[in-house]
Amino acid sequence: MIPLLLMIIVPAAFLAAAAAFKSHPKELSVSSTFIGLILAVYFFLSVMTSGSIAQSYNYIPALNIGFSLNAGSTSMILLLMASIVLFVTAFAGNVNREKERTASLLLLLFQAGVSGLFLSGNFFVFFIFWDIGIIAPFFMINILGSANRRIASYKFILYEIFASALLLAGIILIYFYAPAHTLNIYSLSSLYAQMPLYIQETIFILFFIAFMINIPVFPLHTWLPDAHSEASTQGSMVLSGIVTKFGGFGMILIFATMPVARSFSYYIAILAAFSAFYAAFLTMRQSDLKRVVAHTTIVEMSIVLFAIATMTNIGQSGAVFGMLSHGLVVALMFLSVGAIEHIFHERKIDMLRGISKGAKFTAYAFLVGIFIMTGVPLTSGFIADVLIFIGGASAFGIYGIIPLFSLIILGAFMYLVINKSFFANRRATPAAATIGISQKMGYAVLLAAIFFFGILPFVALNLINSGGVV
Amino acid sequence: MQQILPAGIPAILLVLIAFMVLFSLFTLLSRKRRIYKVVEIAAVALIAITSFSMLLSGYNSNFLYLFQANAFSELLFGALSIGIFLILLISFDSEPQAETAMFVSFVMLGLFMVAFAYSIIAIIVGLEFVILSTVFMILSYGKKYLEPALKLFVLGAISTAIFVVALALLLPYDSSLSLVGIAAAGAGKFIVGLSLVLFVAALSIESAAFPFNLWVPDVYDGAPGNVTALMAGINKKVSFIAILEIFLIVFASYGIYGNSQLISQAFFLISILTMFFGNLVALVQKNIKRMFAYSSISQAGYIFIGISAATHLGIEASIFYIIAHMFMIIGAFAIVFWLETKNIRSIEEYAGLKDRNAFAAVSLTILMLSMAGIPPLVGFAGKFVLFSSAVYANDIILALIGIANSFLSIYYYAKVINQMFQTREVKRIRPGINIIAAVTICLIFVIAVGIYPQLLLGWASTAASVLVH
Repeated sequence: MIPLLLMIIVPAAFLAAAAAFKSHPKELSVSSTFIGLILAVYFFLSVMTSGSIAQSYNYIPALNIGFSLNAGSTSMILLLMASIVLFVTAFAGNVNREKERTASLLLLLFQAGVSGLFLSGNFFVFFIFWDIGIIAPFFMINILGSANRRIASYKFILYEIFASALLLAGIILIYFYAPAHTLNIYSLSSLYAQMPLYIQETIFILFFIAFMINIPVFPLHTWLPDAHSEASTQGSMVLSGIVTKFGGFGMILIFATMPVARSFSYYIAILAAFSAFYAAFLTMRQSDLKRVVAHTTIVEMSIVLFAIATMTNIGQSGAVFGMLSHGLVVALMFLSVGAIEHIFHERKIDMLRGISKGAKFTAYAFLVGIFIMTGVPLTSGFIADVLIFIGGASAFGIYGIIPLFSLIILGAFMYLVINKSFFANRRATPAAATIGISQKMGYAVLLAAIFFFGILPFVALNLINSGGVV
Repeated sequence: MQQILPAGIPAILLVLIAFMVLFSLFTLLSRKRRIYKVVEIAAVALIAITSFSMLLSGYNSNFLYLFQANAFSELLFGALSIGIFLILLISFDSEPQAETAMFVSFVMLGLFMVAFAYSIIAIIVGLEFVILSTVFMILSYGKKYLEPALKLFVLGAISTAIFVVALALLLPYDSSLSLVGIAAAGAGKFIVGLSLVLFVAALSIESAAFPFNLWVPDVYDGAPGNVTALMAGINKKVSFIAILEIFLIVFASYGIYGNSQLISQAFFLISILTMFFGNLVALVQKNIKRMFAYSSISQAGYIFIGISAATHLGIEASIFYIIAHMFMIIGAFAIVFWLETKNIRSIEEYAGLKDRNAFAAVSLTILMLSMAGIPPLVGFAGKFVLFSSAVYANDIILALIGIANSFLSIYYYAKVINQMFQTREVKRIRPGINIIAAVTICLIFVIAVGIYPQLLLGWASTAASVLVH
């Protein structure tokens, strides 16, 4: 059995190499993410065949804290998604090859953070990699971003560090009240019941707000549009595709392990549904293509939170599948928006006309992205929506499908955008550049993954069915 | 184990330090100063290695009725010797060379006395050595440094006066002045409580704890950068060693194990107030040195969390954090000092530092993130152990307040980081090799121990068991 630790050691080693040598930064990050992808597939298959893997190492014996890693169903699905997105980001994300070395270093750091986060077996490890996964995107915005990057990155780091402070406070509370001071995420599920109820509620609320900032859900979503639209293309891809999944993963963990979640789930579902509509209406007010895509993230992730809050097995597996789908789709869309910006030097919807003429591949990739986001069959988005709303209906009856309408609003607006900027051919914006083969390969890899999971959803769903959500 | 080392090894240490002092005198007299400085740096390295080899072989002894060698003193002396090594490295090229070298070696002597103290006399003389040589070191940089030197001198004098009064209250119980002797003789007496309060006041001044820390920003800001590094990195840590020795040995039977929790409660309050004071005032600073001064005040507050817990784990965490913070702050001030020599002082002027010098920007970022407690750097490991010690000591409030403060601190560190990574049209500058070496050593420590804290935590645990059984 290959140790799970390899998922973290590989990017760390490549990070050290990239820091030491000045040449070939892109090659290093591509090979690191490629090895990460192969390892993720290997672990995915081995979890599928022989159940979840848990490995633990001595870390701080004085505190009884080990470095424990756990590969369960949700974590493997999200890790596989993240590995695909990272691989594509590494080879296709940086079109104009700006500040390539910094970009590669940050991507490698982020890869280590993501692998550790999704594989964490206890909250200590979870917290360590959570913060690594926050710091790397911070610099992706701050150093590599566009004009307003300073404000955006500052907002991002304040929100996210506030979230991580809440997270740490929750962890310390668990540490204090759990029998034998254990922090193991999976064995805690049976231990929460031994804590006083108000402590359980406090811990749940602390964790919930922390993950809610990260997901993000109304009213703590305001950092996201700025951060995602000011980051570099690479930054936007990993921010939307992967960083928002940290919160989703955390939500799944607390909803599935904490018994007290049941008493909050109803209100959280209402909040999430409201947030989906709110963000859908916000999207309609946007004029910047990148901000539009950023706002769709809030809609989609609110629906994921709604699915988690249904507390049904089918709804939660829908949530996991939704995160898988959304991570891939949003990476595709940010990749194509980045390409549009590169080709036309323009992001404003009002200014862009006839994209399909100047950039055929990019335009169709974006279009297919919208199909997937709105849940067209044969794509992973369809499977996710079906599962989520069956879960919603079985938990809340007819009211459980109300959030679906936010997707319809979103879809209607997106098709409007497509009509206006992509296919309206009069006075088409002249193309100033072209995209290379790596960019097209990026679309291809993401689309292949999306259709693979759309046509063969059972690959991922069997994993959840056999092992539960966590 | 003990047979590996000769019995007189602490004496060898003393001889080495004396050799250092002597060499610094040579530096003062000679024209070929460089070579003497190199020899001195080598001597410090040798001292650190000797100290760590004593630690590794588990060496224990009393000597001269004044000093004792045990795991605690060996670890802290060894670690702080590395700190002095770094200070000598960063002030390798700074004028006046001879005076700097000489006074640093006197600080080293003071450090030795405090760390290896068996008698309270050693502590008081050691603290005086440290403070006075720092005062003269500041003064030797020129007349314009009179103000910080005078402030430090007056505060040091007040601290010593209070210290002596506190000591006088203990004398009637045991005139041998040995730490353990007083502890046994004075147990449970009322007057000892008064003495304890005075000790808290005296040592709070030097360790910059809450009500007595208003001198810190002025002095740190006024003094030249390498002396600031010395004060923040060494002087403050020396006073923490004194705090650990006095409160955990002399007052062991008074507050910690008995039914009275006086020490814990006192340090509980000091810790909270110090953390909040440092962090809140640091938020509005415009000058980088003042910001680091206030941030190091708040970092001292974290160290007090472990002392307040007063358990084995708490002391272990405090020792860990003392050493960790020494590396972080010396690394940070090394860069600040170097930029100060290029006339870059305010946070405004740090804009575009990455275009001036990427190494400085990246390393300062890593060091600041570590101070803010971002994993996987040593600051996080230290804080987590400190918070856990509060948790194990049933003090959840202290842990939560500590977390709130970690969040506060990111606000001002992020402000600086934000400035440094702006794009500006500036001239590229390069630091000397000595600055790069010192910062690299700090970075290696911050990252390596951060990723695997057990490297240091094991030693800290051994050292803590000397003080708390």
